[in-house]
Order: sequence, then C-alpha cells, then structure tokens
Amino acid sequence: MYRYLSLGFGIFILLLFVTTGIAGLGFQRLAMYYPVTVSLIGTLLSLIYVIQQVNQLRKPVEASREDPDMLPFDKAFVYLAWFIGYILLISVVGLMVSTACYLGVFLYFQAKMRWWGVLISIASALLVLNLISQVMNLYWPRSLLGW
Amino acid sequence: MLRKGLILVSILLLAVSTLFAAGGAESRDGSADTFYTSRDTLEVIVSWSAGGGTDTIARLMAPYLSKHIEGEPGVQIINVAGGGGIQGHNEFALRRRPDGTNMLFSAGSSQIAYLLNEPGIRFDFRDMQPAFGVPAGAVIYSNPQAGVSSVDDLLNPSEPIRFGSIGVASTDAIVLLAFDVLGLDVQTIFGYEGSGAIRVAFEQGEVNINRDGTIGYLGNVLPLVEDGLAVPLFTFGQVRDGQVVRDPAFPDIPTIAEVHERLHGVPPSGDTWEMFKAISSALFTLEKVMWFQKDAPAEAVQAVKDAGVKISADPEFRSHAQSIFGPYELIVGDEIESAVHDMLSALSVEVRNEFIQFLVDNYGLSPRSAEAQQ
Amino acid sequence: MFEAGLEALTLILQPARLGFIVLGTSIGMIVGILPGLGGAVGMSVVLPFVFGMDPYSGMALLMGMVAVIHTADTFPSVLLGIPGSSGSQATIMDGYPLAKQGQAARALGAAFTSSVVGGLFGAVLLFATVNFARPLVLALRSPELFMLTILGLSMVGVLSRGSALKGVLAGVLGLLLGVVGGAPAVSEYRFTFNSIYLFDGIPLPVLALGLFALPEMIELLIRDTNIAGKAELTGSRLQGIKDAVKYRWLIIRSSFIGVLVGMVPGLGGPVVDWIAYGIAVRTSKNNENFGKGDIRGVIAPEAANNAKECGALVPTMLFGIPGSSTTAILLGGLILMGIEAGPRMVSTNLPVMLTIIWTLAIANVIGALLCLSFAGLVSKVSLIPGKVLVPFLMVIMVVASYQSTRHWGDVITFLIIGLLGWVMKSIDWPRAPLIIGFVLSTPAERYLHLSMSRYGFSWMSFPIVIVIAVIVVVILLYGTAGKKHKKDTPPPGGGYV
Repeated sequence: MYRYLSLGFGIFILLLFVTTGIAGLGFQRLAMYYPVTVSLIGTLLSLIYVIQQVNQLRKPVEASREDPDMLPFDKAFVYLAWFIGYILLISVVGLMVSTACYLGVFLYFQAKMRWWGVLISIASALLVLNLISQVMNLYWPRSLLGW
Repeated sequence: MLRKGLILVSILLLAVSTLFAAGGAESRDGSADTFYTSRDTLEVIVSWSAGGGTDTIARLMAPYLSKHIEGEPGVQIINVAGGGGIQGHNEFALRRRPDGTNMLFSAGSSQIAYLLNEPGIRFDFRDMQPAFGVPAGAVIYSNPQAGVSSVDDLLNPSEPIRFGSIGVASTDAIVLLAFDVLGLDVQTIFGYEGSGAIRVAFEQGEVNINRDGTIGYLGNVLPLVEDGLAVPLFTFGQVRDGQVVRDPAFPDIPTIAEVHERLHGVPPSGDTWEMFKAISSALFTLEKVMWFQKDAPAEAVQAVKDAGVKISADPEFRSHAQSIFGPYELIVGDEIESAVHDMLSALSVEVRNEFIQFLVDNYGLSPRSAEAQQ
Repeated sequence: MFEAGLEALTLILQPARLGFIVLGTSIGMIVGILPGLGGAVGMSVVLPFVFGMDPYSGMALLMGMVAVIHTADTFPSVLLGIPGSSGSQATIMDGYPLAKQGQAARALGAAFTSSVVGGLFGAVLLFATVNFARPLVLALRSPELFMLTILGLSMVGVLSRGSALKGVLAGVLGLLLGVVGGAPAVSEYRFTFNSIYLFDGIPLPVLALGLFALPEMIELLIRDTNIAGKAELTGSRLQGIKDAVKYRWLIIRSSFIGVLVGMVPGLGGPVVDWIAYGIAVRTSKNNENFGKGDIRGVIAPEAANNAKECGALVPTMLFGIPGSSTTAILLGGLILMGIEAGPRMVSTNLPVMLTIIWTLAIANVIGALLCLSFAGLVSKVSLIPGKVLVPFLMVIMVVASYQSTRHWGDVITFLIIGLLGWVMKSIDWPRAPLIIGFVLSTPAERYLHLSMSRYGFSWMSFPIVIVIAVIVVVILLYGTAGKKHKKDTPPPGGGYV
C-alpha cells in the first residue's frame, strides 16, 4: 500500500506540474517565466521520482521494508469523512448547532463517553467558543441558514 | 444505544436552536425620533486588513462618528480583506442589507481598481450614495544623488529617471499618466512590495523618483529632504471646479500644472490633461469615501451626513486628524454629493477606456474594457 | 544612548504602564495558545483600546502582546503537533516527538527558557544596533534580497535529510503553491480559478494548519491512545531549563540568526524558525536524533522566533515596512497615537523606540514566567485520550482557519491542504520544505524580476551577491556530504514532520 500510494502521489504531482506548466504558458510574458520554470523543474523531478517508484514496485517485496509504520487507510478515510461531514454541516446550519451535533455524536459513539459527560463537554465547548469569540472578535463561518 | 444517541442529538438540537431563536429575536427599536439609537451598531466595512492606512483613518473616525450621529449608535470597523480590496466592496454591494446599518469606506486603491475594471469587481459606485469624503495629497520627489536634483533636470537628467511601482493596476497608474502629461522619459520598475519597500529602493538609488502620500511624505521623506537626500518636485494638487490648485498640506511645492508651464512654457491642456484631472480627483481629491447603498433609508444617510459636518467642525477631531491625514478639510454636506457626481460623470466610459488603453499600450496592463461590468 | 535608555525605563516602570504590559501579555498568551490564531487577531483586539492612549502606554499594550505570542504558541506545537502560529512550526519537529515520549514538560521548560533568552538577547541587540541599522538595511538592494531568498531556499536541502529528492520536490511544490494569486510584476492573477479568495494567494496560517494539524489529528484518532502513549509523564520543567542552560551557545547563535533574519525587510520572517532549526541540525554533533525528539531541536527555533520579533522592528519602525500582519497593525497603532514610523524613530521619537525595546524585554520575561508556571499543568493535555481531544481540536481548527480571511475558502483550503499533508505524512515526505518553498516563492520571483529589470545581468557581479552565492554553494555541498554517511540508516517512517 505504501508503495502504491507513493507511486500514485508521484503521478499526481507529475500531472499537476505538467498542467500548471501548460496553463502557465497562457500568462503574460512577465507573469509566465516563473511558474513555467517552477513547473518544468517539478515535472523533471517528479518524473525521476515516478521512475524510481516504478522500479521499487518491480523489486521483490522485503517484508521488513514494506509499509513502514503505515497507518490503516480505511480508518483514516472514516475519520476524514467525520471532518468533512462536520464542515458540510456548518455550511448548512451554522457553527453552533453543527459543533453541538458533531461533538455530541463523536464523543458518544467514538469516544464512548457517558451521556452526561457528553452534555457537559458540549455545553462547556459552546460556552468557551462564545466567550472567546466575543473577546477576540472572532467570526464564525457563514451558513446557508444564516445561524 | 443508537436510539439513546438519536434522542440525545435531537434534544441538543432543540436546545441549541431555541437558544439561537431567542438571541435572534432581539431587534431594533425604531420608535424613537432619531433613526439610530444607542443600541444600534453601524458597521463600517474596510476592505483591507487592520493596521493599513484606510483602516487607521476609519478607526480614527469611528468614535467621532458614534459621538456625532444622532442617537449615538455604536460604530464598528469590520475588516473584510482579500482580492486587493475588491472582496470587501463586493460583500458590501451584494450581501449587506441596505438598512442603514452598513457602510463602506472606499479608498484610492479600490477606486482605481473600479476605474480599470479589474477582474472580480461586482460593485458599482454608481449604485451607492456618499456620506462624506476624505481628501489626500501626493508629492513627487527625487533623489539628487541619482541624477535629478531639481525640476529643471527632469527633461535632461544625468541618469535615466527610474520610478518604482507596486504594479500598473494600482494608484501608481496616475503617476504614470502624470509623467506622460509632463512628457518625461521614465523607466518604470514594477513589482515592489509596498510604498515602504519603494522608499528603501529610493534611498538606495535603485530608483530615483518616487511618489508618496501626505502622511508618508511628512513622516518618512521630510527627514530625508532636511538631510539633502531628497528633493520635492511637485504635487498633484487638488482639483477644485476643474482647476488644479496647490495642495493645502504643501503650499510651497508647485503643482504639476505649474511644472508643466515651467518645462514647456504653456499650461497643460488637451485630452490627456482632462483625463489626468478626472482621475486625480477620483484618487486624491476624494481619496476615501464613506458610502451607503443606493437603497439605504434616507434618514440614515442624512444622519451620517449631518455627523460628517459636525465632525469636520469638532476641534478635538481636527487636532487629532492633523497628524493622521494632514491639514485637509473633510468633504461633507452637499459638497460631497456634487464632488462624487462630478467624479463619476468625469469618469465616463470613454475616459476610462482611454485611460485603460494608455496603460495597455505603454505599461502592459492586460487589455479589458471599462464597460464589461458584471 | 544609555542615559536615554534609563530614562525610557523610568517611563515604562510606572504602575499603569506596567499594568498595560501585563494586560498585553495576557492577551498575547491566549492568542498564542490557541492554534492558528496569529498576531493579527490579537492586534485587532487591542487596537480599539490604543485609541487616545499616550504612545508609551499604547506601545506597552501592543508590544506586550507581540512579544509573547511566540512564547505561548509553543504549547500547541509541542503538545499537539499543531503550529500555534505560523512562526512556530519548526518546534514541532522535535517538541512533538518529546511529548509523545511523555516528556512534554521538559520540552516546554527548555522552550520557554530559550524563548526568554532569545527575546532578551534580541532586545539587547536591537538596542545596540538601532543607530546603525539603517545603513545595514539600505545595503540590501533587490539583488541582495534575491540571493538571501535563495539562501533561505537552500535550507530545503538541509531539512530533507534521508531523501533529497522527496525534500526538493516538496520544496518545488511549495514554490508552485506560492505562485497562486496576483503576479508581482504585472497585473495578472494566476491559478486562481477566477475565485477572488485566491487573488491574494493561499493564506499561510491556513496552509500551516492544514499541512501539520489535520494529519496529526487523524493519526491520533487511528492510534486511539493519548499523545504521550502511556499513563504517566516523565521529564520535568526543571530538566528542560537545565537542558537550555547546557546548550546556551545554541540559544545565543539561534537568537543571533533570528535578529538578523528579522531585520531583512520583506523576506522570510515566517521561516526563521526553520532556518534556525536547519542550521542547528547542520552544525550539531551527534545529530541523528533530530526529528525524533532531540531537545536541541526545540531550543533553536524557540530562541530564534522570539529574537526575530526584535529584529523585525528595524524595518517596521525605521522604514515603515511591515514585515507581517502583526507589524502592519503595530504601524497602524503608532499612527493612531500620532507617530509615523520612519527615520525619526531614532531621533525625535527615540524615547518611544526605547520604550518599545524595554517593553519587549519585560514582556518576554513575564510571558516566559507565566508559561513556565502553567507548563506542568498544561502538559497533562498529552494524557487526554485522542478520541476525546481531537473533536475539540477540530472545532478550534475550523474557527481558527476561518479567521485568516473570513471566507469559506479558508475552511475548504484547510481541508484540501490537510489531505495533501496527510498523504505526504503517510508516504514519508518531509513537509518543512513545502512551507519554506511557499513562503519564499513570491520574494524569489519578485526580487529576481526587480533585479533583472533594474540591473540587467550586471547584478550578478555585486560583491554581496557573490558572497551569498558562495555560502549557498557551501551549504548545499555540505548538506549533501552530510547526507552520504547516513544513507544506510534511513529514519523510520513518521520520523519527519
């Protein structure tokens, strides 16, 4: 998995550099030099990197070298989904409600907190958030419902 | 367990939303005879981050506004930075309600972006009404050790005249036009980070002619002038009734019109000169303007306009303002209406297109049209 | 000069002004501790109060806050692996591994001691050089600034130990991300997808948060433990202070670097911690433990970033060039009090300048003492189970990143960069080079363009340019040579930050 991800990421940035290089050619002359040069260097280096990674894949797998400290992927995606869900919720119903829901559900189901612990956590989090936002003039993300 | 959780979530949702409904129910009390009450908050959008020149002036004015607007509402400065000042203006035009609680403080750099129809602009000053304006001045000065020691050297400098600029789509554009009016041969170096960096480059001799606003000049350049490291050449003056008059902050420094006469024997005239005056009045004579939306309640606009007149006469404000934007009078009352009207009518689409064409042809501005708004 | 200095001290030692310093310091502490909030937020909090104050009191409030942000921002960097502000990323490299080993208190003790020494050293150096600093800055024209940018970029080589290719690629990726936004030379917006949000480029705080915080939070959740990975903490504040005393020369050296880099206008203020860190790695004996919890990796950046705030006052106060959003607001505050930054700061306004220096020194001491006294307690954060801690952190991250420009783009960028950071972490790509490339991208393009359009190719023969070029070459060669004999023992995954 580690090696496939390395190769995949290599190919991704190779394509990225190629794209930015081509897009860069459309800029005015003085705005073009720099991004095109950077993209060109990036393209060359990432090409070398991709070739290295392909060679790695061809080699027989050494058990000890495979997946050094690799964290499980599926789990990472689940947690990432939690984050994205939270942010999507904010965009609809606003920071306060989403934070209450997110903290509540996460602490209850994931952290296996008792329900009263969850309630106390949420209440204190919302309180602190309001307090700090007041003192520091913080702004909350705008939401569709405008809360 | 799942059921318990769902119940928990719904209770929470309910509790939180009640809390919010209660908070949101607080509304304005319009029964008093003044439009604003001390419980209202007037929000002034400043499209740059805190600490910049425009922000500083807005913050200086805020307490005086609060004091002089009838009903004494709170006045809060809201920084909406981004997009070189365009973002805050767009937000004001598109998203802020025209209910008299929102104002916009524009400045030279957003006014030039509007003139040049920069990408991303979604606002139009013609859809706004002014409450009052703040004038500013500009001084052009040179480095005597790098070739230009007086106005007379301008046409035959011993070293090429070099001007440092942050970019063509900035208030520097009018300096480029000024050089054209005077018929000077100037090499412009674009790409500096800001006026401070350009002043350093000026002291180093990397560039040898520079422009500064009144406050920047008084604080940073005057000490150099006293040491003989800089020489003031001319000011842009102030445009009054179509005439360029001396800048009240610099009564001893000639205006661009006087310098033209000295260099070429005749006062400036013609299309380029008219264009210069129109743009100069938009960028300096009205350097900063406090706006309402067109649909804002007339009582609100009148209340702030009246406050402008009172602020302008407040001796405490006058002494405080002296050190922040120089010895200029605020443009208030009916004067601001006519000044903005003159500015917008002088800046017809033709003039703006002409200006854009000048910058496209000579300074690599990306081609666009002034008309393609929205 | 000394008399004037003492006079300024009596000005500042009045009870009311000392009160303002303490107030400013407290606000700075809160801003520093909350991840992602930088000086700009704190400044906009105190700015309304500055209105109408006399300059000495106002400066006491403002500078008190500025001085301690980089002391307090060590807490999240060490304890959570999340940059407390964009100036304290390098501390993560070794501070966070130390916290993972249960030695958070030790790391914090060493960090705060280095911070206060760095801050004091910076203040002294500033006092000593304030009269000569103008010619120093004036010696740096565009070509010299360009070469200094290159010097900064050469740190990429130093910081990508183990795999040069990955490090350099990450650096180039950073350069590319830095291109987003308006071009310096002409009016053209690049790679903005017609979104006004990107016109000014990606905000650095958002980038730093995404790159470092999000991957750390995911890892913490997956490992399902607390940060310390065990039930009790070892290592004490006292041990950390002893460490700092032991490496006193490293502190002095890093402080010196901090002041110097801070003095250079328009350059790498935000990467000074990385530069100090890189140099510490390069010049230390037995450096194989860097990145895995070497206390020197905490000491060097912490000394440097406090000292930087002193150096940064030179371009800010003497030239009116704001080096960061914090100093920009400082300038605004000065103007509100009726003082324009500029050459007069060392003539007519010298008393104000000297009060500023004193405030820096006093606030640094107060801040470090406050932080030290809390360190033991706060380090218990590393005992909280990850699954309880992370949801709260996530809330803070979202709110904090939104403060950068108050646009939804901030949150979305945070998420996208976070994804990038997580992939990079998973496949052992160093992330420090990306930050360095990003920060130095615009200066590199700007000063190269200015040099070429003003001097043609002749700038390449300027003496300072040549000297810096030689230094760059030496660093790069030395960096490669240093790498060779370590090639057999690649550090295990996750060893880099």
